[in-house]
Amino acid sequence: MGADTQYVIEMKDMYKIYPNGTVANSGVNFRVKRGEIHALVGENGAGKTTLMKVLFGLEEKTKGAVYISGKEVNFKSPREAIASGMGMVHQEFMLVPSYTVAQNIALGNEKKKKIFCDRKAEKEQMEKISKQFGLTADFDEPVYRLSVGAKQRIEILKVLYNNAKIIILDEPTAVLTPQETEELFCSLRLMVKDGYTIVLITHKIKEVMDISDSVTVLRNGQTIKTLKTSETNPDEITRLMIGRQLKPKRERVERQREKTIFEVAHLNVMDRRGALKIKDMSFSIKEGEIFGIAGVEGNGQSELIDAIIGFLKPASGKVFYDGKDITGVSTADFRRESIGYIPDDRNLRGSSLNQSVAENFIICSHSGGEFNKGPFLNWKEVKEEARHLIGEYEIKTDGETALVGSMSGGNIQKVIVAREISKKPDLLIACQPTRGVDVSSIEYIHNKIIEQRNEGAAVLLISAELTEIMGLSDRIGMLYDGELVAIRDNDDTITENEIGKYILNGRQDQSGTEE
Amino acid sequence: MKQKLKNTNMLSTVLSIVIAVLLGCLLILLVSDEPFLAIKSLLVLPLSNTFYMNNIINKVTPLILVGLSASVAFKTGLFNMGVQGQFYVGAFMAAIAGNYLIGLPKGLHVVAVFIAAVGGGVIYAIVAGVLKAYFNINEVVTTLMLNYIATLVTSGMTNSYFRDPDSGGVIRMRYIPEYLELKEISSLITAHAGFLIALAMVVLVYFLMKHSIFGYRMETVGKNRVFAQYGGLNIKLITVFCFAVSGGLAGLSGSVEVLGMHRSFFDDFASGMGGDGLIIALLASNHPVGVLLISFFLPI
Repeated sequence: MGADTQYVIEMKDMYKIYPNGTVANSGVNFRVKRGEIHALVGENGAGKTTLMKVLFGLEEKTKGAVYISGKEVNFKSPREAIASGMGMVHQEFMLVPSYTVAQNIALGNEKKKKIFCDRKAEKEQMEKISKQFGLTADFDEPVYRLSVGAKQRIEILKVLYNNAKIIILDEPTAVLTPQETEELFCSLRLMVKDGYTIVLITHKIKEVMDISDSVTVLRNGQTIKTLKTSETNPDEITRLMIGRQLKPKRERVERQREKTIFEVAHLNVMDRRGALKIKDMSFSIKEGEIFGIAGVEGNGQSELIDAIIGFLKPASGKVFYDGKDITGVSTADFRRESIGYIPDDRNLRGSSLNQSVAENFIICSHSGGEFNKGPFLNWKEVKEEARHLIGEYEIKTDGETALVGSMSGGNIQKVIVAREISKKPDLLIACQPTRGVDVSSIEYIHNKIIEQRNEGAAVLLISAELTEIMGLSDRIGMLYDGELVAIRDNDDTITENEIGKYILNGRQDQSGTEE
Repeated sequence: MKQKLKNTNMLSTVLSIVIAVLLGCLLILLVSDEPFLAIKSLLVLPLSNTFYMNNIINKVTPLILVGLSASVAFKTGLFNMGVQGQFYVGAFMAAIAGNYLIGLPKGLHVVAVFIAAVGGGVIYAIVAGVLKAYFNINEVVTTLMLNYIATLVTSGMTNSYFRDPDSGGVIRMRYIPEYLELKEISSLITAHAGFLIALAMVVLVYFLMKHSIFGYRMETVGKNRVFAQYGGLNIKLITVFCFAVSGGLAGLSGSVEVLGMHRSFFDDFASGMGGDGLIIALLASNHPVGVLLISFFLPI
């Protein structure tokens, strides 16, 4: 006892050591005041999620004390945590896809009228919460039809419906578009005004500055510092998070560009339901050039990529690589070319979580030479090469036989980047290469992409992060509703605002901006 | 991490066997007048002399092969519930080839019998493989239905066209010529040579799965189909290939049973074989050596 009651959450000297010896928290102190938005920041693997899981009763602490509103607690399960007024919105949503929104929200906490569910009373309460905090939802829609942003609103509604007063959000903006993020923040502000307390796990420093009242920085499982947001700045938080200054961006080498490596001409692509998702798209990329496609997710990015890599047959139009027509080739043939491809879905498309790092490295190179002895694989060679790549790309792992699934997101992404770049591609296709990755991995991956460009590779970069697009690209294409509404050189005259206008509203004919 | 996972797998396997044995003992205690004698004859007697031991090896032989068959498919993330059907087709083809290709040189005949059996299993499994790969029809449904067809068609044929007229009340084909039989391994180990075939297959499957390009591809498809697709693997071909290997092993098991044990095809003579194969593969976590070890527990 003896904890200060002005703190609604207080965690003292927390230790969490997993049975396999991984130390996730070693002496974390974390205090949250009532009615504030408290950002918990740190790189991937710093122990943020583990700390919150312990708080929420999902993991058992090894040592330490937890106080909620001044009372010591020791939650054995999330049920107990929920009963004491806590709620958590996880990174992966836990909704039943075939149930309606209302059923999902009420699930586990149904109002009863004798032995039946009182759906009407349930809905009334939901609508009240929904209005109060601006969390719009269509309660009769089945969840599988909803967008990611809408699903997240449902999760938050569910937490509120369960009478939570303390809400933990685990990287809520990782899956949201800029507008959705703004909407979410509006709702959060309303909630705080109403006396709710919010813990926001994130590693986006901009968000910390935008919305939080206080910020606690974790590094290597320890609390580095707790600060008032108004008394700090992004540079300080970054320095505290990674323990050093970021390296300056790699120099861009300007060079004479002659050869066109990649070209898309009048491409039309329909998705599997027959809707036209890419409309008459044309662009080309020369050697040593990064062509960035900016756009809010869902504007045709995945269809464009699927058509290029042979997953979808384009309805019409051509794709050329190195002067060759590769329109509609199979994925197998596509992968045999000297093309690196970093997919946006790291855990499903990009890597195989239940296989080792070494096995993940050789997906494109396991046959036809280097690693073979006749029809057999030369595992010794494979492992040696894997060790080499782990070292070269600074991948943090227990070794080449460690399962990829046991590694942090940033390091999984590095495995993918290492695999795709180590084959020295002439063309590199990078989709959301740094989504959900910590600051130092972002820095590393960005430098690797620029390095490829400097060495003469053509790079197609697709990203929803404008800072990433503007920081890396030589030219920028603005994607809106399946069309490249504008293509501009990335020089000093272009602003984030201008790109934003294009990708949110499409063509800018009236405003007189040239295309 | 990986090591740890393996250990827990191992532990759960051993535990499930121990629990099964204990439950069996409990059941005996409840119903038997002489429980200790019964338990003794259940657990100890089979290992007490060479005759019993050899009997067990004979029983284990086809189990190893069906276990391997199921494990190859599981490893690729496919549920080949049709091991039973492929086993029957293999056994039936072995008996047909054994009886109706007489006149071939003896050595050639032996080869022909195995080709017929394995080929039968392969083709029968490929049906489900093609349906899965190219038409996306659930393989559990097709293989289970194909089991009925295999059981009933082989049964019907054995009852009619191919029935041995001298078989009396037993529904079976004619016995195969003696030179086709799998002989005793040695005067000491009187189990038939099918066991050696099974051991060879354990080694072969081990190398296929762990060290070959195809093994890597099959495992990758089993672990993460989407990743495999994006990596440029031809999932359709791998699916069909996997069914072919699985069906071939099941067919081989059928032929070994016919050539080593029964010397003929009897109507529905091994009805639990497919299920046993699936259980063995699951208990062995799809590891070939595990399949070998677990197979020994089943008949004991």
